Amino acid sequence: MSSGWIIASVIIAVIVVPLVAGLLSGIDRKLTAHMQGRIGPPIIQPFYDIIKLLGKKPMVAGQAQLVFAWAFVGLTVTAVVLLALRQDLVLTLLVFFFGSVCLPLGALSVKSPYSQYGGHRELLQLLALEPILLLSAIPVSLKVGSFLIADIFAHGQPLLPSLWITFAVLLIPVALVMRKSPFDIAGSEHAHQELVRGVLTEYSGPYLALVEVGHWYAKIFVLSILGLFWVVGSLWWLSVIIALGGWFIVLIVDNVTSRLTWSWMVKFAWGCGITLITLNSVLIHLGWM
Amino acid sequence: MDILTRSRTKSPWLLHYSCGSCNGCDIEILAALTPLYDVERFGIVNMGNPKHADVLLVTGPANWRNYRVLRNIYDQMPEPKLVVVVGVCGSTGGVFDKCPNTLGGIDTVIPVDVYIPGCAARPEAIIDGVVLALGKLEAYGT
Amino acid sequence: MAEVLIRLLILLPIVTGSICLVVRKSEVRAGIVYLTAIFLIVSSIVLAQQWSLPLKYYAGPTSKWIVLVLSMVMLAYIVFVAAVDIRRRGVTLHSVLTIVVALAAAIPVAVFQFALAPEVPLVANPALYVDHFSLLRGILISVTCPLICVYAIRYMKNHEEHLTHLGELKRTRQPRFFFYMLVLIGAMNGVAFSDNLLWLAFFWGLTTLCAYALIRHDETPEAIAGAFRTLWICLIGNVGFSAAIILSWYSPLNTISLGALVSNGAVGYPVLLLPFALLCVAGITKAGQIPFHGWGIKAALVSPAPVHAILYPFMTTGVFIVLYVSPGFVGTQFATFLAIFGAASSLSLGLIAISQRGSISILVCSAISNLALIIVCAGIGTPLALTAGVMLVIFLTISMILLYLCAGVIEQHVRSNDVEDMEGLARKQPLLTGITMTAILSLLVAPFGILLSKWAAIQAAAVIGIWSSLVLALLMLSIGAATVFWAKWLGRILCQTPTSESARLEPFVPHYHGVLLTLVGFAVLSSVFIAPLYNAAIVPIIVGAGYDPILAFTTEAWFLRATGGVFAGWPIFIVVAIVLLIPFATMKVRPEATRPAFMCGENVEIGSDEFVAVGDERTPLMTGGFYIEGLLGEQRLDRFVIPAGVVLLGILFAMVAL
Ligand code: SF4
Repeated sequence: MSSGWIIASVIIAVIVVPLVAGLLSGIDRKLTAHMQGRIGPPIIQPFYDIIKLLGKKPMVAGQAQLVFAWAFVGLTVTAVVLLALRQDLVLTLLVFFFGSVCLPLGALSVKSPYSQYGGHRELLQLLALEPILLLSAIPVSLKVGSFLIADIFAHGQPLLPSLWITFAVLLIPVALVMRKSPFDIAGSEHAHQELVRGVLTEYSGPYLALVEVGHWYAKIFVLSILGLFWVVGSLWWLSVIIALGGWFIVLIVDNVTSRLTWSWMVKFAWGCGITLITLNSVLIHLGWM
Repeated sequence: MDILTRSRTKSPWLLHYSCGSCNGCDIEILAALTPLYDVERFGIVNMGNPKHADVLLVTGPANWRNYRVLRNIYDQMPEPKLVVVVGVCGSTGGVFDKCPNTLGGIDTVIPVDVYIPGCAARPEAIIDGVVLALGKLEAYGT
Repeated sequence: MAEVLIRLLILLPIVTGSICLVVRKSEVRAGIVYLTAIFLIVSSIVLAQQWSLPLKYYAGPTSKWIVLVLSMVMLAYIVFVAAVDIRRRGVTLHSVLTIVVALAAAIPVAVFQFALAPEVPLVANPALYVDHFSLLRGILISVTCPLICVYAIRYMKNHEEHLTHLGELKRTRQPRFFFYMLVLIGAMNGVAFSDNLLWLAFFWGLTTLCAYALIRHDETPEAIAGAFRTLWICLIGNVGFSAAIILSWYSPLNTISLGALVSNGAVGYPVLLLPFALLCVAGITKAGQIPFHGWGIKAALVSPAPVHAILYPFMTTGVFIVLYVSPGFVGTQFATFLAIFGAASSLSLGLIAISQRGSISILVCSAISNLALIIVCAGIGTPLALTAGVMLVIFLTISMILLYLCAGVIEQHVRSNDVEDMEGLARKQPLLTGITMTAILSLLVAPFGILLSKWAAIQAAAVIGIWSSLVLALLMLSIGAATVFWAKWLGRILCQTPTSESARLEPFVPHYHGVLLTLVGFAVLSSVFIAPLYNAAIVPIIVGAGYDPILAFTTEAWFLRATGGVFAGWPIFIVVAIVLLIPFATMKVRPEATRPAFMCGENVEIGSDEFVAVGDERTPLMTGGFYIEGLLGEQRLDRFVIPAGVVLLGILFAMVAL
């Protein structure tokens, strides 16, 4: 990789990603509204929300809360940059998890009933999400022969036909990161008010905006992982379509299901998700896929 | 209009607090939030948390029992913030006027920006009231 | 010079420990401990420059009888201790088992040596054999354990003051305490350096005996029961050693040299697989792996913190042996199932840790869970896996000891080791909280060394064939479980009520904060400078095991490059410094921007964690962690974990028989 290309990737990862993610969540809200027979907000609504939040007076509940918000964003951006630089997939995921664990830590650092509850639930989400995301790297590496994302690009063959099971399972972490039903147990994206806003309860104004932007990076991160399942030569738009396809499925599932309990979530993710990815690896080992 | 003010007027997040109304206006607020009126068109989202809210919708008269809670919630909202009183009893005391347990209108406890009349106020009037309040944000500056 | 130092690393702590036993004045005792610590640390530094390895040390023909007699005396003492306990407290399962196991360990060797074949020249092998791996292990012990002893000088003083205050202590028990601490250091070094299985078994038993004595230090009924449980479980290892000695002597190799066994290997000599399996069982019992994890968890409840801290390297001794002999059985079906066993053990203890409330209990579970990863690495057996295993030994020793010691200071501060009671530590003890947080993060997140090692283990496991799918699935689940219990604990100590007052640093206690900060320094620096560390310390080990280090890592711009991936560690450390360290040091919260937590408007005032409840009553807010005891409680999980452990061990031996 030339240094020009490296700089370009970093700039794209840091600047273009939030723009795309914001638009995507605007489209998400619009589509959801249409599915419910409403007109819905303008597509650029998420940007209005963020700018408004940035313009509010800061209000804090402790230093640790702020530091972990920064760390959440910084490390998630780092994970996206590592992905853009086509580094090691497992390392990239580990950095992503470091970012993800900062959010509940920030929430748990405030003695607030809702924030504590949300933080613990966020940890349970991580318990469901981490093993699946990490394990999904295994069948990929079996196919590609390496954990380097660059080698997935160099592989020259789409992964989806042999790894469709893994792809399907990966929709679980995508839904978790996007805070969609039936997994939206910690952040209450959709005004499920028994938690107030869960992990986000004690963040407000600019810091809420910060966390929200970090969340955008996280969404694009998991969607890009989906995109890796179809990278062939210069047909980059195919991977975008694959990622958007996964995103759309998650959206539909969100609209037709209701939220379920955390214990169901963990059992489902571990029982179904892990078993299926392991099955995928075994099938590859046997040469059947 | 600069981008910040525009964003503020485009994204009012609501918090609803009932000071012990007869629940008539509360029901109307919830009606205004149903898909029928689709307030998300205006970027309006209902929040359960003062720390995230921009507009406080209050119903019912200020009273000795919970004016403390009302003030605390108001204090927990970050600036710029707006207070919209829904219904006459919140505006002036209404049917509860001169009751020994009430203080009168909400403005005896916290500053109020917009009063929406009606007993109960209609959903359309509530939406109009919120939009009217947003006009005050232009004066806030950065 | 080096040979003298090696011998002193074993003997000196034993001698100074014995002096501690008779010294009554606590200042003099402290002085002896300091001098021992300085000597051990300095000689480790000197030995680290030692390149002409391996060193061999042959003992004379009479030494065989000395070691044999010492072993027999030791085992007889254990039987005696158990018999005394039966007289005092009546017959208990643990003391009876202790006698049975000790006899089972003693009788075969005694019959073999004294009756059947006294002419067998067991001393033909070197007694001590120091290669790069055992030297690294010795240095790790001799640097970290003296720090524990220094810490213990202060800790035990406070501990005994508290007990005296409660009226539970008449006369100081510190002489005995430091005696066993120091002897344990010497014995662990002995295990690291021994090559002759007879010597190895003796030191192995000696570490068990010291651990037993240290666990029962407080002499409460629970402590005594926990100590006996530890004793008989860890003595199973000595039964394994006795059998291994006889088996390997009657193998075609006619040797009881560990090095010779490993270098010949089970592929060439399938009969060696059984001795290897027995050594692995010895390691598994000592490291508290399933189904033997009970001793670690029970011991966690009863003894002072420095004991737990030193029990960590004690447990590591177990997996060290497994990793040390792993090149001997690489490529066998046994190795594959050893990896599966390790992964299952890791996951089981990770899940049990989620339901634990005691800080030491969490640490013990996580220690076992992490040590199990080293067993996984031993089972995988590729050069990369061996590297991952060695790295885990290094990084875990530093971080786990650090965290045990942190838990001890916190416990003395809040007078409880329940994680729930540690709420708000960030306000009362900011420095200690920062240290604990660094320690937890070093175990929890990349790019710190432990996650680097796990990354390497994943890379290594991915290429070992179809069973890798199972190993990896269990491994990933255990990584997920670790996130929950670490973050939960960290969340509790960070949790504080919003207030506009800023926190003040607590007074600096050299014995505590000095030792802790030294270990923090080790943990961070070794992770940041992993590339040079790898080249200097780990490459020779890989070469010594007969592998090409290219198959493990190449270092390029201080990135670790394996055949299947690259670990770009230091750039991420820079990011961590920017997003975590600098904000913590510089970010200030303006008092007027501080708001209380959201409590539905019922807050009392800022800085207070009370709310107005029914009848205008001021009621304190209580928050707490998730423990999921219904699903993941120890008792409940044990119903599955213990049978699973037994079955997996059975499968391991079935693999030997095949
Ligand atoms: S204004 Fe009338 S309807 Fe509304 S809350 Fe007050 S009394 Fe009820």
